Amino acid sequence: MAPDQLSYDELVARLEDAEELVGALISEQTDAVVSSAGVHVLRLHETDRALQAAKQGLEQMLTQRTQELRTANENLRQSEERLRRLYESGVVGVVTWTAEGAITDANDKFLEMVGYSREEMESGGLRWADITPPEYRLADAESLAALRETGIGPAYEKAFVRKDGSRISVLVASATLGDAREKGIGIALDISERKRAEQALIRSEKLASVGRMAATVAHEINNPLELVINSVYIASLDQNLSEQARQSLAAAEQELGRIAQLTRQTLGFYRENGAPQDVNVSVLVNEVLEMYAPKILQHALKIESEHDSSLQIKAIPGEIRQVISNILANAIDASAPGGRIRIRSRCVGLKNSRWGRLTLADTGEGIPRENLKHIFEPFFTTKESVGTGLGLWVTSDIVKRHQGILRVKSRRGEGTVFVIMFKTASQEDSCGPGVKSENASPCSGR
Amino acid sequence: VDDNRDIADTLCVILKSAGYECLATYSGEEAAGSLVFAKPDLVIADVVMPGMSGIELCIQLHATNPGLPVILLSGNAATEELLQHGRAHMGDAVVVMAKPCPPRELLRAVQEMTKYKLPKAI
Repeated sequence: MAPDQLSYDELVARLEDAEELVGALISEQTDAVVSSAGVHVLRLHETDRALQAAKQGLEQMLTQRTQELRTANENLRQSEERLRRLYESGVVGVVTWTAEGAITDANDKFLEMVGYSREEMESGGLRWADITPPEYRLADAESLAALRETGIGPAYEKAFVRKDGSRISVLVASATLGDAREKGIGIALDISERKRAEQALIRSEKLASVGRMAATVAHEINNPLELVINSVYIASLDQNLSEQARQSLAAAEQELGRIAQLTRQTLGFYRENGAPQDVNVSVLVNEVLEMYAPKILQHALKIESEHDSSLQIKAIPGEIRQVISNILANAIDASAPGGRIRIRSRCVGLKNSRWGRLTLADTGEGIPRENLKHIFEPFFTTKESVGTGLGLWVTSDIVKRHQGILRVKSRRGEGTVFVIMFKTASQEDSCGPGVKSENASPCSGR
Repeated sequence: VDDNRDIADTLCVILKSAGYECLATYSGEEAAGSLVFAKPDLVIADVVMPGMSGIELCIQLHATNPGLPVILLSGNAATEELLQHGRAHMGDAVVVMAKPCPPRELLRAVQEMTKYKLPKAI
């Protein structure tokens, strides 16, 4: 049935069922059959529908807004979580600070880097100035100026002084918090490993260039030296020499031998020929002591030299002489006038075998703890004007080549002890008859 | 054999003083040439020389006079490695000594090597 054939009642009933009757309302015929009351009903229905639509629109908007808020919240939470992860992960030190230099908060990593406790920080005992070595004050001031100017303190390298006095190399960067730029947040990255690698590289380059130089110069030095040594020897063969000339030439020959030895060994480009032989340690020690006798006398040093005369080690004598000489020279330099140097050798049992133990102890100034780990590195010296920084490096190299063990102990103001363990000679009586009889004077073999 | 004439000459004086006969030559080529009439029991040669080096001389000697003892005097490390290599080819007849070499040590080595090698030398 078409809409124009509907009766009024039917029309109203349909309207009440909220059916779509747009077509019917604009029809000319229906307009005629709809009374004013019917039109009112129609308008009411229309208003109701409009209200419904508005309500639905509002609800939809509300749902959408709620969703947006939820997403924003989630983003915030994720962002917070990311920052927290960075803060807590131990990858990077994070601090908040004030322009006056107070550290108001720090993560565990930062506290670990500088060696302070959380309590110390919270009670105000951790201040930027305390952990900054003097030479980095200027860099800090520049960074603070940049922070005041722009709110950003670009990254720069510096060091922190840890609570125990040691140092740690770091990369730091900062940004201000708030408009006043009086406080901020900073990060610190531990770069000591990289720094060490850098320094090792520089050292090895230094070493390589010296090696090249040594190789070039070696031939130039060794040839004239050979000629001088030959000439002195020939001169000493003359039967008509006065006793004084003979003695002078003998001294010259001996010293030339030492120079030859030094050029070969200190420059490290010569490995003494031949296999290790059985060497009596006490003989070598006495030879070296004789060499240093004038210096020992000059410093009024007391030498206590005690040796197990039967102790024989398997070694290249010239190299061991060099080892003893290097350590003894350092001991003499470190000793105050009247100081004592004790040199002892004996055989000991270690790891089920017999070892020759050589101990050189002085009562000198001692080696500062921070230097102790560097003393076997090439070019490390505290005797800038006279030292080459090669002595102990060569020493450790020689001991290593002899498959020995080199240990050092030192205490400020008390002295330094070097202990070297050598493999003993092959014969039975070179270091006591066996491990078991250590207590029953094992070293009095002959 | 040494291109530094003074070294060659002084070494000769030293050897003569110890009772040996000695001929000083100043290049690898000269040394190789003198073998024909000199008939040495032992050759002492510098390693680094212009022209024929001590090592080349050594290899040539090994071919013409097998078993002839040679003392090579080496001035630096690089040559020493080379020598170790050469020694692997030429055996115990070659001894390497570092320059500068104290005359007493050299004489001891000469005595040692001639004593051992003399019966075999041509």
